[in-house]
Amino acid sequence: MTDPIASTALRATRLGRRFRSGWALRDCDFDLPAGRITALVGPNGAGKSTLFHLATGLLRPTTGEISVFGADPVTAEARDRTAFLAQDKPLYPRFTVDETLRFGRELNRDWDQATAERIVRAGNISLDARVGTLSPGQCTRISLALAFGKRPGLLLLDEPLADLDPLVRIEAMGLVMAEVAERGITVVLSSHVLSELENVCDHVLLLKHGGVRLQGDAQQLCDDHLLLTGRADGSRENGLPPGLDGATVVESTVTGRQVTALLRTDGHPVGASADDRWVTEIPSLEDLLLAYLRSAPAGTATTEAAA
Amino acid sequence: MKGALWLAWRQQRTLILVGAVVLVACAAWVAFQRADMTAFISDHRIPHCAGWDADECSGLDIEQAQRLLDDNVGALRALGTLSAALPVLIGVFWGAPLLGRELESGTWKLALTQGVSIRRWFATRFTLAAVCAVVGSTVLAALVAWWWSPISNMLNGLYWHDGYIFNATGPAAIACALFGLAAGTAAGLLLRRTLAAMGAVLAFVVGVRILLNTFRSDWISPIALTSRGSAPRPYIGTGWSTGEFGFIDATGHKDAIADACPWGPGLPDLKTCMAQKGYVGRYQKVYPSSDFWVLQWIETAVFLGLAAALIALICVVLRRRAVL
Amino acid sequence: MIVFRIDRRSGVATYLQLAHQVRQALRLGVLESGDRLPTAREVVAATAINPNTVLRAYRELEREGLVEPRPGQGTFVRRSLSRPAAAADSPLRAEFTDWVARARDAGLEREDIAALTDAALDERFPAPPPSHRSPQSMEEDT
Repeated sequence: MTDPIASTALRATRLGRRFRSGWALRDCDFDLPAGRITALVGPNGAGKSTLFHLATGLLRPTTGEISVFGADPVTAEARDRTAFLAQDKPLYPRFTVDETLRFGRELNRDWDQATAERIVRAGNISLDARVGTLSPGQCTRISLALAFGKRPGLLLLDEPLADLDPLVRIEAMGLVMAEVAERGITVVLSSHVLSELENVCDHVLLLKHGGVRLQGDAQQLCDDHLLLTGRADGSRENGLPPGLDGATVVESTVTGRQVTALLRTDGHPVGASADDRWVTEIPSLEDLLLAYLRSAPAGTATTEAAA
Repeated sequence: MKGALWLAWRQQRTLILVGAVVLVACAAWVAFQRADMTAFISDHRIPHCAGWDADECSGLDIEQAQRLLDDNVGALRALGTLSAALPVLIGVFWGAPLLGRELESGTWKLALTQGVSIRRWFATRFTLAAVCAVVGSTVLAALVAWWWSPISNMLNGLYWHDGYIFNATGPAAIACALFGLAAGTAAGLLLRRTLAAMGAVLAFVVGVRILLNTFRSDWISPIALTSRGSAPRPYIGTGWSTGEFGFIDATGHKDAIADACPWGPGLPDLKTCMAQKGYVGRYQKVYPSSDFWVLQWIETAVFLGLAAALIALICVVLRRRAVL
Repeated sequence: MIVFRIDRRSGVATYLQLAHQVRQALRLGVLESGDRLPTAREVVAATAINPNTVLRAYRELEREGLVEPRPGQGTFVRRSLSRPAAAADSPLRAEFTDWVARARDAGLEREDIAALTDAALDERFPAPPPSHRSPQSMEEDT
């Protein structure tokens, strides 16, 4: 592997996928850096799962292309380097845990049995247990053991924590982070629970209506935005103070006399108009993502109904 | 076993073992029954009297021969039914879940995101199933033929053109098993639900079978057995009568009896009619028993053609990843 | 060994929380010179946070000269922050405890005392602690 920081793990160019019901993804361009943990965020039907399926070669794009470390996802090269945890975490219910690990060993050229077994044992799961008898949390652990046993360069996790209880959520995410710490794996993680992403992800890809709405380094994105709160300026339609020309209003809400707005400033000062009646804060990642999820797509963003 | 083959074996081993046990049981039962039968034949010196009128039939003890048939035909019919139904069973219980269950439970996503290609994954599991289907159907077809051969086409027993025999043995039975597997696999892939695929493949394979049974004789022409003058009509022996018989005039032209000399009150009797119309002989159209192989190979080709088309369809769908 | 605890609602950047907890442990004598800090792997396994956050916190502490990375071995504490003067039986502490008791006798509430100490601290240590989400007016921002 080349310098993991400098290279791109997942790259999409004009990527689109149409189903019978319409476009699930359209004209998506993004580069996800290697060695990072990317949050894939978006409302239901935004195309998150479609994106995962395209990245693993389970689906082929209708337009454009997607590459994993520069290789087409259906090539052996890309398959060997990618591990995927689908949303429903499919496993063979009639296999024993031992057989499930053997499945990984038989179907992968480069298999790390020691790591896979260590992950299973750390969860106090017997190798002789039938997978069908395990709890959802234990199944997640088995799925992660399969994923890490593959020695992936890129780990794709589609809603990995859904349907897990809070303790197991921390345990599962801790397990992922520990392996990532050891091996510098690139992770793309989708979740509905934004607060869960805040401490985990350092990169963001936000999809909405099948298009890319926001992408970039999480800290940089927070620094590029301002959360503005104050008394609504009655003389102006949106209630915001004048002199915000350098900034884009992502979202603004007027509640009674109060107006709250998220501005994209890209580091530019927001001008002299502001006075101490306005409070500005750097938004948390959760604030930022919520604002983008709620806001209407601006300008050029695609507005087609997504599948 | 290694790689994708291990996975295919692990997922199909229950079916393979159950199938093997059933086959071994069938084979043991047939061996026992047939030993009984051949002992009875030699004890009572029953000749192999094909049809009703072969030369061997002259010294036949009809009572013992009837007992021989009564003792065996029922069980042989049951085995024939099993062998004829095998393609449907394979399609429903082996073909339909082969991809259908993977798609239904999502495990195809697990399998296809490991190191093996979709082609290899499908090829190994389908090949294993196909080999088992061919072996299984061959064994059953051979058992049917083996048991039937000493009493084949005999008296009022089972004839080569009976469904219990024709559908249960020969190359067509084996080809049909492959067709059943391919149909079940395609149904599972297209419907993505095991149960729906099972229903669909049941209807489809049975439908094709009925169609082929209905038009079985239409592929080739029967031969005409002729007799001169008012000599007795020729024996049809082990042939399969088409039900068409009639008269031949001096030019060799054939008239079916219904058109030439119909029966009925006030009409001339047969001899008078023949004399009046100048018929010089009689004929009867039958398929001789040698046509068994011609018809078998035709249906074999049909089943293999259908199977090939279905496999091609599966490959196209998988290749385009149009499974989600 | 130190156990980290992440307060997800505090609004304080996670790496600052980690660095702060190490400093506190040094001050309390929980960590001493020569101790090994938990590896990033150990920390994230327990807290489920991004490993880069841990590395960032350790870099911050390294920059402050409190810890040093030893290749292949881990990150080790270079010097302790525990001051004899802050120990439970030190004269300074006794004096301060006396002062708090007097303030309370004078009718001050807990909040009043805290505000007083904060003010006195601000006077002597002008730089405010860095805070991720501290509200700031626009004049300061521009």
